[in-house]
Amino acid sequence: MSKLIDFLSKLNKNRRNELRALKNTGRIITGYFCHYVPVEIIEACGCIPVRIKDNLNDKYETAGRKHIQRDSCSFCKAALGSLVDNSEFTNLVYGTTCDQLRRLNEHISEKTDIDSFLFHAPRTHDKNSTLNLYRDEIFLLIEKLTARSKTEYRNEQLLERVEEWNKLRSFVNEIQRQRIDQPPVVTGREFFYLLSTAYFLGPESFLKVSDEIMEFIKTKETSREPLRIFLAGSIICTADDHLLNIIEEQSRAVIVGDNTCTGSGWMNNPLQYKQNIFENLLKNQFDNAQCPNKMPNDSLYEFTDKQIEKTKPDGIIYRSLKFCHPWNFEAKAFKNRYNIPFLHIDTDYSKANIGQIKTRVHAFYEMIIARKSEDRIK
Amino acid sequence: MNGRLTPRERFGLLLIDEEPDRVVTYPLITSHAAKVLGCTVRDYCTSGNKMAKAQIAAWKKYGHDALSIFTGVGLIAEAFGSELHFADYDIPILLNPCIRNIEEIGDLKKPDPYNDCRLPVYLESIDICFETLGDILPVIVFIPSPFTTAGHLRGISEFLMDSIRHPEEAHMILKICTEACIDLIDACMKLGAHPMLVDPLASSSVISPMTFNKFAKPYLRQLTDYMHRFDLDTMLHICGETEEIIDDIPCTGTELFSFDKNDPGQTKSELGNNTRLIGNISPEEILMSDPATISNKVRSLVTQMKDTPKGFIISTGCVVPINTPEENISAFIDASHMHGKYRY
Amino acid sequence: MKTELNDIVYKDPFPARIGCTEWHNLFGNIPDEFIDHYRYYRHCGKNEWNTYLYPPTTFLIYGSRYLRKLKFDNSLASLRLWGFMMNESERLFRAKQSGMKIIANMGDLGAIPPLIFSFKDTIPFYPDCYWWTPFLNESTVLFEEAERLGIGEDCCFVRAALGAYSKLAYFPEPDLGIVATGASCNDMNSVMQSINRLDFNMHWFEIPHRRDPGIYDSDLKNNERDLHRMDYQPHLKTFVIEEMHNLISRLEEVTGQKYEPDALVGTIKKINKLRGLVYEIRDIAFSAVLCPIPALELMNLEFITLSAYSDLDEAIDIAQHLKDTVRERVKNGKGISDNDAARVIWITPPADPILLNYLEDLGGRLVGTEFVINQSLRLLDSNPDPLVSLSDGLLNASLIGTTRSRTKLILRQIEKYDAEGIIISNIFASSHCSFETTLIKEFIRENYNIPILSFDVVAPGKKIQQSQILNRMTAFIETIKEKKRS
Repeated sequence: MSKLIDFLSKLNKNRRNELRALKNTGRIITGYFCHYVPVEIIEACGCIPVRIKDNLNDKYETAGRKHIQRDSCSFCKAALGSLVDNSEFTNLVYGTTCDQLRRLNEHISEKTDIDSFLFHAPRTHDKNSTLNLYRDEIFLLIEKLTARSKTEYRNEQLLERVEEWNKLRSFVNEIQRQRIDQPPVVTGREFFYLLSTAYFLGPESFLKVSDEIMEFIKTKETSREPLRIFLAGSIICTADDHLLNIIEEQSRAVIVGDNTCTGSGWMNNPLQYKQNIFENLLKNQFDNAQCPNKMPNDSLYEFTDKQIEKTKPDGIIYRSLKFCHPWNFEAKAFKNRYNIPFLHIDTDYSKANIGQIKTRVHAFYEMIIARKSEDRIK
Repeated sequence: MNGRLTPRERFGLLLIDEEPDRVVTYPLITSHAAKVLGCTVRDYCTSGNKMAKAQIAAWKKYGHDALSIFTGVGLIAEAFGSELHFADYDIPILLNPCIRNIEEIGDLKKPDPYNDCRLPVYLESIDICFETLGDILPVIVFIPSPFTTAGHLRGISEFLMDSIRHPEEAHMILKICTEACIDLIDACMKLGAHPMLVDPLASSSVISPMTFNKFAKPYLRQLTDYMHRFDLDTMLHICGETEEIIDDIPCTGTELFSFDKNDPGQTKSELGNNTRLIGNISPEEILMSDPATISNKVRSLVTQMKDTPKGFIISTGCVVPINTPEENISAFIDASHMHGKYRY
Repeated sequence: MKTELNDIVYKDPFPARIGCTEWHNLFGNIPDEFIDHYRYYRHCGKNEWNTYLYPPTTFLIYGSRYLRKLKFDNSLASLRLWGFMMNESERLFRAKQSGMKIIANMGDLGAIPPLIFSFKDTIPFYPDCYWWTPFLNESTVLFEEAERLGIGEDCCFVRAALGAYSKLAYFPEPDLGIVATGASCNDMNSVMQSINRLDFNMHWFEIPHRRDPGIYDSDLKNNERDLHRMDYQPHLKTFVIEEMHNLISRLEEVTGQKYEPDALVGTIKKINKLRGLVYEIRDIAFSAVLCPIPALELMNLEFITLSAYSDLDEAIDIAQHLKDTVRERVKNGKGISDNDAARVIWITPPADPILLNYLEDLGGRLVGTEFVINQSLRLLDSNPDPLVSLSDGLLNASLIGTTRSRTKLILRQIEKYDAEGIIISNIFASSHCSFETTLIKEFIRENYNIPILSFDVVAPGKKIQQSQILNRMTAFIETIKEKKRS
């Protein structure tokens, strides 16, 4: 059991209660799906951003199937099932990253009372026209949010939020650097929890406990050299906890790096800005979002190249969610690109196939260990 | 399959004047397929099911670029009434032609491809081949041409004499043979097969150019005109010598010409600008020689012919003999794949 | 219907749906002069290769095996339509051989080609449309090639386009590939991403998501001509025009020509002529008591608005011929359906063409379609700036907005053509089908109480599943007829 995760879980629980109370007082709790939505802008519009990925599970996935056909992405089904079931959000904002997420919006509008705003998140990034459209759409987003929160958007407020988030990012980046130590001081599961909690709490609340977090990390016992695993693929959320457990079971292996959009892909470097903070923030999101839906997706591979080079993994576990086309159909390209042992798991949130996944992962590790032994002999 | 194109895709590109990935490799594997399957030639020739199975087995073994439906040039004549002799391990040969006297010509009745004699065997074989492999392989059906068919109705020597002594009657026979050919071509086309006309008796080894021009060419032309109506690229195979009639080949209307004993370089310079060429590793060579020699011959031929302006298919000059060693055919195909590349 | 050519007349037989063998025999009655006359690329003169009037047997022999199982309309105009459509591959190769530029266009389904076509000797075509090839050939080779490149059966059949692009045996290497992404389906995006990895010359075009302004009430009583109209927010048009300008720069580079607005205006006029004809034929057919033209030909007709660009003049001529045929049949009270045929609207084109045959075999008929190409059916506005017209056209696309806006197109047809049932043919795991189908059903049921059947089209060769679809269609048509009787 991870003491760090226990600690973070308590923080999350408290935060959830806090948000419920804030919502009752009229604060706007804005759910968002991905990081094409700058959290700083949501906050500058007087709303509290919460990423929709926690609290999802296989039961919600099943619930979502009442509304969307079964041959759709597990994440979308679970998200819809969860949104229909509970009303922790005042409103939702998100970009048209993938087609399924784009179409999810209409189901949310039809099946829930949650007000949602879908903006066009550009796929192509090599021209001014799409940056201009992104800008126009974010302006519309600001209009919607400020109308809802009955506040006024000001650049000064944005600057203040950027500075706070920069502090948080610096801290998390430092922990990210420590993931690649040998042996790693932070497991992948811990890192995902940590990042998730950081964004959930927000910079002020999270940085208050930064010393305690560092203490957990420093005092953690690491007994042996685990296998170093790079996790690639679809979004990782709470519904994937069992998968992370399988991968890092009994400290046999540790996820030292990833390119998922709720892991390393969620991390931006602290924003370097000059003069026009809004433009800088926008351009930063536009240029640096790591997403397989970017067309072409060369930058995702460049990002992954850098991560792999830094983390030096023994193997890659590539997890695509069932019917997640953007990731599923890139698996072969990934495999061919990296001359590293590669395991592709295509799965949903159901726990019915845990046994099968375990077997495959363990066999994969045996193969890596055997290969490493052979290399040593050579 | 070799290469990233299927044989059908490869063949299709050739027919629209596009360069495929490599030279189409099409040794004329017909009765030899019976040996591959392990059935008698008699069974092969008399059962559509067996013929199809044998063709499919041969393709699985060798990986060539088309299936060939053919049992012998006496097929249509037999349907008219001529008698053939069948042997277990040899191709059928003419035993008794059905027209003993020239006066009997009037008794000739056009056969029905769906019911008469072994014509339905052909159709059954095509149907099975097309259903099984027609998505990746062209199914080529060999149609005995009017001149050769007429020779098997009258007896070869007799018909050649008729062409001199009774030309009018000879034309009457040829006319009804042409109609019978068209009926068979029609039936085969409806099942998806691509006809290739075979006319061994029209070769210069047998007849003079004058006889060819008067008695073979016009009827070949009628057949190709008929198939052109359906936008089919027509194929003509004449085994033996054809150098003396090389200038007349375009007048038959054929788009593809399969040749045997001709010098390939000369054939390329005479015809290659306007006609796609098919040929011409000698059947004797492929039967008697060893894999290394065959490999060298194929390499040499492919290298020489692959730049034929209108296109080239490497083949055998005539049908692959039944008892050809399997490793010889494999050597043929491997050499063609290795040296016949255009891209990739 | 009589077709005259220099005093030679060919008379269509009594309207019927016939098989491949029957067409082969009927073809014997068509005079040689007709075969010689109907050509594409007439500017290339009379070549041995530029005729296209041939019966299904011809294409059967060259690999389209499915044709032996299908039924066809027996009019000369329909034969021209089939020949033109089936001939497209060769036409593209011949275009390239003749020195024309070939531009592959993916994802936008009809919005961008007019711009491409306005450049002289430049032909746009749709690799997406090769999704029918595995069915027509009864072959999985294109799917196997796509799988080899990383896209397997969890992707819509459009993955055949990846196979075709890789092999370059179905069309020549394009001089440019335009890939329209953004508000487009995941399957197509993944295919385009994979094609991009094959190192072809590509240009990425972004299509914005269309948010509805939210006005639905007046829809059902719209003007006839606006059957295809969608609503969108004005700033999207500005964006699309900017994208068009980006594309123009690229096209100028590839073709070596300058963009001429007047040329585009001229192209738009021609395209509107074709689209107008298609609209009229559909309207006549859907409104007639006896359906004058079968469903399969109606689908081909719709999709000629995508494949027409390889010879727009000839495509217009074919559409005119078909319109004359259809009008004449209606005038003479002839058709291919019974007068009590179940009136069905079909949503999303079936990749398996035999399903449209089944509809008529079972006593149904087509009275409307939403084949995801609304942007290709709608007349383009006549604006002084043709890029404005084109952008407006793009923003009327079927799939770039909400399902509710797409359902508007269906509701209008239900009302206009008195539909009695809806069939929705899906593709398993396709990103839009899995989300749209349930909503389409709900939105239709908000307004009409008519039976709706939805199913997944199965891949070629899966005979058992295909027969299950036939069973379900049988029950569905029976339900409609039973409802009519009671």
